Amino acid sequence: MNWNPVEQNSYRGLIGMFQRLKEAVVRRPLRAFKAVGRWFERRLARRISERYADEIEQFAALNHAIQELQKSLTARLERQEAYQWDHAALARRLAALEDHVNGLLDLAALDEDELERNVVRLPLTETLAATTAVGQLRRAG
Amino acid sequence: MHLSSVSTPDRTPAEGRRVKILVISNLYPPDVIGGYELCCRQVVDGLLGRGHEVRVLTTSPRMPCAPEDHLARELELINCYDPYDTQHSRRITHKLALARAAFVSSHNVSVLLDHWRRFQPDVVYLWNLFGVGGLGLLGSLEYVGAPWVWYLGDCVPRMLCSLGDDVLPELASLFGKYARGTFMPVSERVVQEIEAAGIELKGDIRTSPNWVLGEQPSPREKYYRPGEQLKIVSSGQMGRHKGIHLLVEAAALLKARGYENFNIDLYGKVTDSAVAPLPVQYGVDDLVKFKGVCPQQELIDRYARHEYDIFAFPTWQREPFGCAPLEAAAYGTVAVMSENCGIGEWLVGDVHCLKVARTAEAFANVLARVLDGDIDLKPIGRRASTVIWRDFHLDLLLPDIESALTGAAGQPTRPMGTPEDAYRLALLAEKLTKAWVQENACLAEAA
Repeated sequence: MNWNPVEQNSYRGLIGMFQRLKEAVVRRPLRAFKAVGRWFERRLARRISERYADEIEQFAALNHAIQELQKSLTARLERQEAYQWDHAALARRLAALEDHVNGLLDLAALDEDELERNVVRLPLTETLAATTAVGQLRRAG
Repeated sequence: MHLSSVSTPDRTPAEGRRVKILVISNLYPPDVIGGYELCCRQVVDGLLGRGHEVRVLTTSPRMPCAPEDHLARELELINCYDPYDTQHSRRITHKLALARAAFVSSHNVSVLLDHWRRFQPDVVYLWNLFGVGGLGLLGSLEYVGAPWVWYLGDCVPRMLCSLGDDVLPELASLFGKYARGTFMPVSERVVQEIEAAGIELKGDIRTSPNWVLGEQPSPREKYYRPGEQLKIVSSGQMGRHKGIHLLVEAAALLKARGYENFNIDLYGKVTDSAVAPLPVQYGVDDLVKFKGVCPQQELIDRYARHEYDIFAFPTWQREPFGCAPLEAAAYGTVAVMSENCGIGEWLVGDVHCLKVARTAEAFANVLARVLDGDIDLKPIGRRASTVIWRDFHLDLLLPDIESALTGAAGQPTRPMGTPEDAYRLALLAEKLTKAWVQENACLAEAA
């Protein structure tokens, strides 16, 4: 549109007038209504809180207790798992000791044989594995 | 590469127990993240020392190093360990890198098949395969009928069947169906963790611990006595997963209770920037010190000189083993560890070590009991040292490793196809993986 400056100023003035009117007629009462609504909302919330305060506290306490229980159960589970692994370690240590004892017994048996047969033991047979292997071979004939 | 001239190697173990072993590891010293790579080198040296023919196939080094005859540093490392790349690359770039690192890299498959053809190993000894397209390497070995033994120092199969943290059930199921070999996990919990992800380990499973090396020292005579300065050490990656924050917190609790006759030295790279300022934040910077990276041998020398009384190891539950406390305990440095870590399966609490819940409070309590003299470190330290040198020495464990290797080498295997076909399949798999990751990223963006 080809408006001259005077027309443009008039148009802007008209728009401004409508905006001020809208502010006065619509927005201010709307704000007032909203404030009243919020006041009722707060009052209602207070009433509900007062009415259900005991229940809410109970639920909060229950929630806290459940969380504590979960923590203690987790810790207990971890302790049990640790005990299980410790038990595994114990079993492994026992197995290793049994192997050593068996090795020593084999060695003792071998020494007795040596006395009888006058066998010269090689340095290699000093190792546990080799001793066990020689023992097994002897038993197998 | 001349795959056309590939022939199926004769896999009869050479000269009785002497076998040709192809070792595959993502990293090899001097490139080290943790104990995995150090253990790899120690076993390789041990096997070479026992007369086996060993070739190590690993990635190009992160730093210049002298060539060695038995080392082929020809694989490509798809670097998913670099925090800079992880934090600064775009999401899709990172996903693609993760997929190549875990699933398949055709370049690495090609290098592996080339070595398989030229070296003709009796058995392949696998280590950490994450970062080299491990699933593709394993698939290729299965395809050409190569027998393998896999040292599991971590839940690597799970890592290979995952994209990031998510395990892909289809891959997990396929792994269980096709991967058949000998697994040597360092602890039961490694197996449990892998199986919890839905991955079934089919084949022979031989649980075997990590080890120490060297000569047994004379028994330690001097242990901590109440009133003296209690010297505590920890080493490894300095991050929250290793519980370093708990240790700092425990120091603060001890200080608050009036104990100041202790100090904690922390050796290792700070991988978690959140832990570095903790000593200052808790006001214990006079008691807890980050000492930086220390070479393994230097640290062992410190233990051998009895510079420390306690090795604190408040590591996470999924720690597969933990070589550091074993090394320390071998020299009479008593390990105080979180009760559920991997090494706890091998040492008995209050007999060879002290096990506590993984909390700052629990660590502070046990350290306070030591400081008060309620716990005598001497019998624990002596027992642990004796047991470790007797039953956890590599010389003692090597025969088991050899037995697994020779056993696998002697087992007849049926190749499903030729190396040429294996390589073609790897190329196809790589392209499919790329397309799949990109399509998923597009779908995610659209959603």
